[in-house]
Amino acid sequence: MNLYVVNLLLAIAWMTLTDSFGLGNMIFGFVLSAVALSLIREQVGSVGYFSKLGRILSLLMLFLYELVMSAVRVAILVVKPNMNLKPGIFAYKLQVDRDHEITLLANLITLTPGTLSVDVSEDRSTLYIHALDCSDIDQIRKDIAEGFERKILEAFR
Amino acid sequence: MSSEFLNFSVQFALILLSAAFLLTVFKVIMGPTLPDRILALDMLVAAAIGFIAVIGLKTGYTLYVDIAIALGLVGFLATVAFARFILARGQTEEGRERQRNEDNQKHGKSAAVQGVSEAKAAGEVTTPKKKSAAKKTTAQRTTKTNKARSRKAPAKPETKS
Amino acid sequence: MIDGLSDIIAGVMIITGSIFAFLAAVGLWRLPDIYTRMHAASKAGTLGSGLLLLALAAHVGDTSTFTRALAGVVFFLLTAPISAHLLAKASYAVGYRLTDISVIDELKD
Repeated sequence: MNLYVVNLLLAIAWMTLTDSFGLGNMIFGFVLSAVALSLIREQVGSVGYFSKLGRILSLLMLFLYELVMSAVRVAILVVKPNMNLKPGIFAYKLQVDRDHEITLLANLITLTPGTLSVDVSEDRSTLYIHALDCSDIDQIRKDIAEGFERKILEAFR
Repeated sequence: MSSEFLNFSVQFALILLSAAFLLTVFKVIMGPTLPDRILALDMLVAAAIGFIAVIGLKTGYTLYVDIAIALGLVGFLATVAFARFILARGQTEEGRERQRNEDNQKHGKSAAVQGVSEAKAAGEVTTPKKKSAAKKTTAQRTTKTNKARSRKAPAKPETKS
Repeated sequence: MIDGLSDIIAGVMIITGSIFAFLAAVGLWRLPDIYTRMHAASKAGTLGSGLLLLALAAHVGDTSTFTRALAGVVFFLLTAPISAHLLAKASYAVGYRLTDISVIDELKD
């Protein structure tokens, strides 16, 4: 049985019992039932479910953090009198190959410091990325591979 | 004391947002290339949504939040449509020039080949990936107009990078 | 007490949000070409208006406004990179050049 459905059913049960159907109460019920499920995770075999949930949450946190950092960096760059840009487009070999993973990775790259995904090659093996600072391309490649790509692979595989 | 701070920050935000709005509007008017204008329009939508949020905070009248969401949707769709329009409209003069030079290097500089290769270049660039019939016709149409234009006047670069 | 706290949080958020929005607009003017400008508009602009909407959500008490503002933020975060990517792809495909100070262009061939 899908544990997500169980989680949702428990949340609905919580809403019925407390007799209030607002969104806040539903989220609270959902969290509550997730905690309840996590208590019996060994018994119902939901260890994978929770570690997956944790990894998706950590991907989300990483994303929000990177978004804030990138906006700050662009903002600082804009107010600097001497911008000293080294823009350029470089190719990035993808490890992920499913469509939704590539989409997610491209979107995440667009919202991270100094990089913007421009194009995907026809065979979906290469992502072309525009970067504000191309002085050290290998470092950017490494950051993406060890940051987002690894997290995406962890969360969806 | 804290509500004084909120009042001050609302005023501050309104001033900054107005400045951002004005800058962006001027960018829409002045922007040298079409993508610049489209980007500025996108930014304009973002600034308008910011305005709605701040006004909602100031007056407590939050009905406009729905409008902000709808505005975001419209802005997104407009940007997508404009991007398609850029693709359909075909190449810039500069891009055509470059393509022609590359073709000349490949085929040798005979004048008879040039027209054909130019047509091929324009067709290739407008339909590199999606091979729908509708797109092909637009590509052919742009090719024709391009040819007509380049026969009349020498290629004038319309982009400024 | 709680009221005062939410006032201060909302105030700080709208100040930072409007600064980001303003800097994004400045970036539109100062950066050299369409691709670099896209960085300013898609990142700083998104974060700016997102923060302003979040400030509204944090300050207004009722749930319906809260959820709507939050939905607006999520929607904005989802669409901003897509439109930036599409615009960049379209501009590159039709031949808008990178600025002259660009150091590398591996998409050329």
